[in-house]
Amino acid sequence: MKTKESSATTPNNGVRLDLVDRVATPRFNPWLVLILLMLSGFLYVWIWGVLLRG
Amino acid sequence: MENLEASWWLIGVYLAAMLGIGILGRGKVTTIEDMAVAGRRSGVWLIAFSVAATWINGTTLVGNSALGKEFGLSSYWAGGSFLFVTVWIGYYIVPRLRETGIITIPELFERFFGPRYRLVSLCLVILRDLGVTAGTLGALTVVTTALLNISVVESQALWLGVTVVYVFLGGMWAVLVTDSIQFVIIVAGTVGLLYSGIGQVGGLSELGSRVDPALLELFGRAGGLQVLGWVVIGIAITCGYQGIIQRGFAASSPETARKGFLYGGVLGILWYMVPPLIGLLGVALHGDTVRPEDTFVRVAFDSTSGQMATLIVVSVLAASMSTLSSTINTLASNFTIDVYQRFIDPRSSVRRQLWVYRVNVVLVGLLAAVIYYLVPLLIELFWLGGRIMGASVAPALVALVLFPDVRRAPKTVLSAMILGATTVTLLQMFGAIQEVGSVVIIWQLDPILVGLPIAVLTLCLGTWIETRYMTGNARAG
Repeated sequence: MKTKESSATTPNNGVRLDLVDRVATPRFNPWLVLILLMLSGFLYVWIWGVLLRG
Repeated sequence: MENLEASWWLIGVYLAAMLGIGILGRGKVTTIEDMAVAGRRSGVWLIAFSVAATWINGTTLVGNSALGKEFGLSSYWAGGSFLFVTVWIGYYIVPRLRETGIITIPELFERFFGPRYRLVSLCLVILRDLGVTAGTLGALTVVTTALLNISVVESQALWLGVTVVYVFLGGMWAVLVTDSIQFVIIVAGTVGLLYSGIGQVGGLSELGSRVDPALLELFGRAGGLQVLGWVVIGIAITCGYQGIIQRGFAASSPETARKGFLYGGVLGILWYMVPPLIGLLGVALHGDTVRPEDTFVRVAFDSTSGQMATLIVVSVLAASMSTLSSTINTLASNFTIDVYQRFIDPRSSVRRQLWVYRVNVVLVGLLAAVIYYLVPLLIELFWLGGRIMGASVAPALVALVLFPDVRRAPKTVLSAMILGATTVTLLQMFGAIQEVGSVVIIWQLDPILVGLPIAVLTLCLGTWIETRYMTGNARAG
């Protein structure tokens, strides 16, 4: 367990700190995904602009 | 605003249904975990509807429609950005936090760094949630006193009273179930209103031709910098928004949380175009004769009548009460778990803890009412505390979840939170204002655009400095 040693050095009342890592993050880069999500939002707004302009 | 001939029986049925769910939920609450996160047993759609409903409230309807009238389609970002980030945290943050077994965000800070960090993060999280609670209550009060010809006290006693009662009785389970019903009501009322309003104008393209073309542009009158500000606020606030994140803790598994946030986020993303479109309808139907903050009510009740008009009133109630119930429950969990249980009486019985929790539900409701009287500027009230939290707790939380090295850098995390919060607070007090709008302040440079980069930079540099002399094993996280 790779965080075992460092867990002992923090005031965490004996709770394992690596629990947060038990769920693997998706393999895609999180920041790239965030940017793509936001860009899809601009696409959504643009589509509404097109619909409204007729 | 004119008074509406509302069908009080319909409002009564709605309120009775909400109270009924609270009474049903009473039997499901036996522990603090039941009260705060519904025993971590909830399914995908309960989470999804609840996430979407929590992001829609009275301020969204009234305030974002006002923004839609002033800034057009670009004002979508004043609300829509939160939903895109909701999908994102549903994949990268919430399932991982859920696995730690925490109920509140400050609990996580204590696990990593000790009780002082819990207190600092608690103060910052509460700032945001109290602002949202008070702002939501305010919007609800403004609309319902004007429409239903009732006093402020009657309005708050009815809507806040019913909300507090069902949270008091059924905790998170009641919040999730009422949220789901409220989401259906919100969609029915607002989509019905849009359909009716667009029909009245003569179709979508006719609506577009009746408004200033600048209102249909991607950045429009608000300008690219303000749109960027809204996007960054969305990212920062959502990443630390405990009320939303706790929905994920209520899920029955990490995968359920992930799917719930995805479906709820997408529903919200689609819905959030409603307020800008209502704003444009306000321009097309009323021009400059209507103040932006009156846009929603005028469009709603000039375009509809009878039962449909009452359904819209109930939609406003549903939208606001879903958010109110969420923030009230979250704040009560903070005061009970992070203050009472942790520092005042750690050995108290479960029965006593539940009573303290329920008393806190009532106290939070009263506190929100007092804050609304003191600071009534609707959306800005949401964002004052939100910006501070978004430039402090939010980046620290994301860094702790995604970057193990940060977990070995306590001084850095504290410095980043304090620097980010202080910068945003000072800029909100002394920063240059371009325009004081009807419901928001348009900043020359939004304070979050300064505060967040400072916090992120502190986290990056500080972690590197604080951990560079650690051994390989100690650095690994």
